[in-house]
Amino acid sequence: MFGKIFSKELKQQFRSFTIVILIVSAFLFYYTQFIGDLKQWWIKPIPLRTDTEVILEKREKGFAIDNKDVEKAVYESMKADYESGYTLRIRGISRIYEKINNSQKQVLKEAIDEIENKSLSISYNEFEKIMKSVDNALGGNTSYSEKYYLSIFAVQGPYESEMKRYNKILKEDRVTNAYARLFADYMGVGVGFFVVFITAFTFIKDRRYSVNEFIYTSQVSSFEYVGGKYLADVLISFFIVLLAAGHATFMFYEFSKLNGDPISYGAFFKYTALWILPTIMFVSSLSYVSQLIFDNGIIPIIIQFILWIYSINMDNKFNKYIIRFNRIVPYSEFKTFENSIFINRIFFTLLSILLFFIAVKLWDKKRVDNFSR
Amino acid sequence: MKIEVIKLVKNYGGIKALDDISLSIIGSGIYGLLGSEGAGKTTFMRILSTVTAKTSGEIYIDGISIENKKAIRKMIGYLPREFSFYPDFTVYETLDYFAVLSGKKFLRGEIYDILERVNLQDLYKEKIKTLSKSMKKRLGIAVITVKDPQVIIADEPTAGLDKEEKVRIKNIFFEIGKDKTVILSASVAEDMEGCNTIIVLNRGNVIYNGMVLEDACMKFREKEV
Repeated sequence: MFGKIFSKELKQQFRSFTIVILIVSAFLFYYTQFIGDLKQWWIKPIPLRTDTEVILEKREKGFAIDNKDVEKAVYESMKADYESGYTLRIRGISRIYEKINNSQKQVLKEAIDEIENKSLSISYNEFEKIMKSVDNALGGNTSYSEKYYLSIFAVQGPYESEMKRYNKILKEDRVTNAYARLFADYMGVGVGFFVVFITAFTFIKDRRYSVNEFIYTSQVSSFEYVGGKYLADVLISFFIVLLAAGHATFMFYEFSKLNGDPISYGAFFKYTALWILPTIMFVSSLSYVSQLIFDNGIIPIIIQFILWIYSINMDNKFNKYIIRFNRIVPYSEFKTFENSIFINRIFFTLLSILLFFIAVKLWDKKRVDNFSR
Repeated sequence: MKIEVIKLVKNYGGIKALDDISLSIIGSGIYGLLGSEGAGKTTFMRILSTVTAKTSGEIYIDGISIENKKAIRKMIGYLPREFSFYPDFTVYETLDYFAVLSGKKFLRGEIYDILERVNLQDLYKEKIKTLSKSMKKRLGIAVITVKDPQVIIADEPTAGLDKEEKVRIKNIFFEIGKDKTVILSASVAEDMEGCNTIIVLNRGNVIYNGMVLEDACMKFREKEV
């Protein structure tokens, strides 16, 4: 019976529009926040080969980088590529120096000459046009592609200290564990609110479709009915985050293949289960209880929104149901937070279970004293 | 099968919906519950069906107290006055789902047999949202009979249907009533035709309990006037 309720709830959810909201919002968070961060700062540092003083200095001081800075930096980069015979190519979340052939070098030479000839009179549009043809001639996805102009300069400190930090992450976290914490941070913020759209109407739908009295008078136990739906709702949301975790793992697998650095394949799934699952459980349980108390699906959304606003700032207090850890640090630096996060997750898991049983009790009460006609 | 109602009272705040009702229903057959709007029919049926709590009194179905809800739910099938089903489920899925909720496992062929009894066998693939009111009523009957209850309680099952559909629905109940206890309610006296026993309710009181349709109608109309 439990399995059937579970599968019917799954079926119903997958046919509903709310699932689209959750999938879209989860992947929006994933791409704009997590992947966005990866492509802004990249994972493995690369040695700089050009005069980047202007850009680095401006970035450090928080000044805006203008087109002339970009032009200068990219021009310097072209010269370095021409001299070394290597160009920076972007492959997924990796930056790799790849060898270029003679005809590609020739294209670079012509572009360098063109810019030098035009000197100060070159417009940004002209510059972009030249870069586009250079990028195409080099096979695409190079640092001459507009979206990657500054990818070569994405550094937070001197190369040696950056490499030291990366090697620490490699040693202590096999890279992915450190990034999985950032993933869990962003995804937690996303599902910490959007899951409520899946769960806020679970029992309201029974009433809306006037099917509740058939269910009340059936032989199903309240625990089986509420539990079957709960399990389905939680697993749907969990599955969506797992899909994103699977994609992230694949991206890092490609990274590992290109760079030869070992990664932990279970990291994204581990942090999804340990950090995000309790969040999903809590949102689901709370919305079950509030919709059964208020007989309304909007109130759980409002309650959740208020709690979400309260919980998304970074102080990681014990009573906040979303874990915020928006940093990429090696395990040794994360360790100091580990215990409090662990206690927080245990607390919210237990609270979710308690709220679930309260929801079962409330549904059971409704079942035997239902005044709706 | 014996249903015993002893001094049943239901209050909604200060309003007495059922006022000290006592009656017995013994054996299979069709029992009609006649009363105008607000007479207490729905409240009475909902209490019998365990979806509304009584204020006081006792109800026993085959000696089992109504308080033993788990056991009572096995014995009764309740068709509410207004109902529908999940709009995106098919007829087959709906029946299959409620069979499972009632703890029954049916083979595909058995589900078709049940649908055939309510003349919906050709619509098993149809989605609920495409069904007419009468088709939904018939599916409702299939849903409550799927658990093979001893007592069927149907709140105004023919209300809002045309004459032809009323006959069709009533014939299904007459067929079921051959070996089960069927309690049907109506607010129109004509809908009581064919009932073996008629109970007339007025303002929460039983004002007639007998087998003569004409007498029941007379009592009903007297109070209606």
